[in-house]
Amino acid sequence: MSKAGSKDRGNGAAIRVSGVTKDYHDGERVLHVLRGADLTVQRGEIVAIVGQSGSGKSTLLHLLGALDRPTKGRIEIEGEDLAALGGPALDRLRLEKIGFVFQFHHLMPGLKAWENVAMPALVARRSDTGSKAAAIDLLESVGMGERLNHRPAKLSGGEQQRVALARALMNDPHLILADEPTGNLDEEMSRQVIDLLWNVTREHGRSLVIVTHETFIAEKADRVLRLHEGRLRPA
Amino acid sequence: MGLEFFIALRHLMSRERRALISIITVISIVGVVVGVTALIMVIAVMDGAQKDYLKRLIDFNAHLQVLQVEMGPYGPRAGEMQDYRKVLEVVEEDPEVVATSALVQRFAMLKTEGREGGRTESFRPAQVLGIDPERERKVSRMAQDPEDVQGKSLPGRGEIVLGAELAAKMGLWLGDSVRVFSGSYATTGLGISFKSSQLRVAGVFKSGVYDVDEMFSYVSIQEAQGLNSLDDVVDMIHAKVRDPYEIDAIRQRIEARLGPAYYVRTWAELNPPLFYALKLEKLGMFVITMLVVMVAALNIVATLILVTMEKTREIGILRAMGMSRRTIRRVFMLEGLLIGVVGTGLGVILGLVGCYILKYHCPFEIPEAVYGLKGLPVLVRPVTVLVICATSICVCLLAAVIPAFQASRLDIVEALRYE
Repeated sequence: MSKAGSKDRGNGAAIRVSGVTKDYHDGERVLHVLRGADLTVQRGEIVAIVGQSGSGKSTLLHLLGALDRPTKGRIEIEGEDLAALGGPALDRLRLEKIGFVFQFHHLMPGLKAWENVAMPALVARRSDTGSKAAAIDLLESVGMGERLNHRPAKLSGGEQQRVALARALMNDPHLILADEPTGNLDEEMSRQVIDLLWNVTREHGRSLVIVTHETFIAEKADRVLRLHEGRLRPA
Repeated sequence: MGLEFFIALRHLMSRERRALISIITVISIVGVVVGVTALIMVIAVMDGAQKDYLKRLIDFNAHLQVLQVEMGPYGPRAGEMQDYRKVLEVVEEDPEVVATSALVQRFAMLKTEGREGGRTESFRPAQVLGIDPERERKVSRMAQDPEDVQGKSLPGRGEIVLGAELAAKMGLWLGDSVRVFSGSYATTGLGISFKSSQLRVAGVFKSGVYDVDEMFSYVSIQEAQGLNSLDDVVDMIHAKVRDPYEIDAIRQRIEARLGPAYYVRTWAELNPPLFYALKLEKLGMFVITMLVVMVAALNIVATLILVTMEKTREIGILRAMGMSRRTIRRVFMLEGLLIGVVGTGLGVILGLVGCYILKYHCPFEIPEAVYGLKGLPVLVRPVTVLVICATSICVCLLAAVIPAFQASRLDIVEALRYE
């Protein structure tokens, strides 16, 4: 596992969301996806968000990950108000503090497994050799040490998601945001990936917000919230 | 730039399921290659032709002419020069002047009689130059080293040397007679009578410049003076200098010495429309050929827009990771630059090879009568090649601006959802 992962994450809230709304305009129709969501995630906490399809779970995750901006409301990541940050500062925040794991892994098809994992470090302008060594370490830690030079198309679904997980950890983020990371995996593979995700979160004091449909995942979380009619409530 | 270069290269050399981008990348590069090759070859031929033509023209005529200024009814004009021997001495004193000669230069009509079963009677206008053979030999190339001469290159008394085209159009050859009518006339009881002389064709020359071969003929200076009812006067002094490209400084010195009664003309002034036309023609060809590069640039725009579409999700992933819009822009600009550099590099190589083939193994004949050129002249100027390279690469870089901004402005969430 990455040595930097053992650093002190501090105390206090990793995420603080208050009164967040998100509207989408479809012609003259306005779709109110989030209608005043509130959420606080403590450092080191694992929170699962459940809800029906189309309830806005992914939208909320995109807002938490600074991929999109809310229509109204306030979002703070480790005390930083996202609304106050410009584009480059948000880029830096995503680069340094947040790791994403998507349902469809979103690996770059033209790159080898280790190149995919090393990419966040290269984006952060770390050295090529250091990035490669760290990527190999991470891939070995998720059990992919034998598949370093494989391209995504040559990997199974579970293997692809392990590579995606390793990539999310590359810059040693404080916060992991996972959007149905086992949505495309069978149960056995799902359990393996989730165990891995829990380990890398717990062992290094990270915070995890996971959107899921799976009951067994929700049961493992410290807290489960249901997104219903645009608001979060304890499940 | 290592990361940007890495991603740009991967985009252009895509090995994904559809190799479309790679094929279109190759097509874009080929477009640039064709444009640059054409530019280098066209400009080299035009430069070569210009230099060749210029050299012949400069060498054929004298490098400068001195004329006497007199007041005419419409202002100053060139007049007959009476103290030409003194002027010759002054001009010769300049250290850059190699040789001088006096000249009578007048228009005349040449007439040939018809022959039974042969040529018909014909009239043609011509410039008849009266020269001092000994002096002229040192001043103009026609007198010392014409490219091709039949018979004598310099005329004696009662003789005329004709340009090859003029001789051919009048059906004249060595030993034939031709009557030369000058502009000098006398009024007699029968009307106006123009002064004329019957001269023998002693030589036929080819200068390599079509217009000269068609319009010029030479007689001795005494013949010209007699024909034009002139005393011991000439129309101009002309001179040859060491470096014709330094003519302006020489002209200033000579003008200062001779005073305002004389006017000095340089070789460049003698043919201003020609030099202007040559320059304009080159500019026109550059612009036209540059259009090929523009088409190649449009190809690059299309390629990079296709890359943007094909790599939309990848751009979304990189942005989600924290890659800045600026870095994305740089990746796409670099892609334009890579296409430009590779295309231009190959274009330069092919262009230079093409120039070599045109120069030494020209596969087609050039009609000399039309172009006044014997072969295809090729002149590759390193500065021109550098300008073409820089222009081509800049155009390719500019072509990448729109796709680069388009890629950097992609909405991250939309890009991640892109199928």
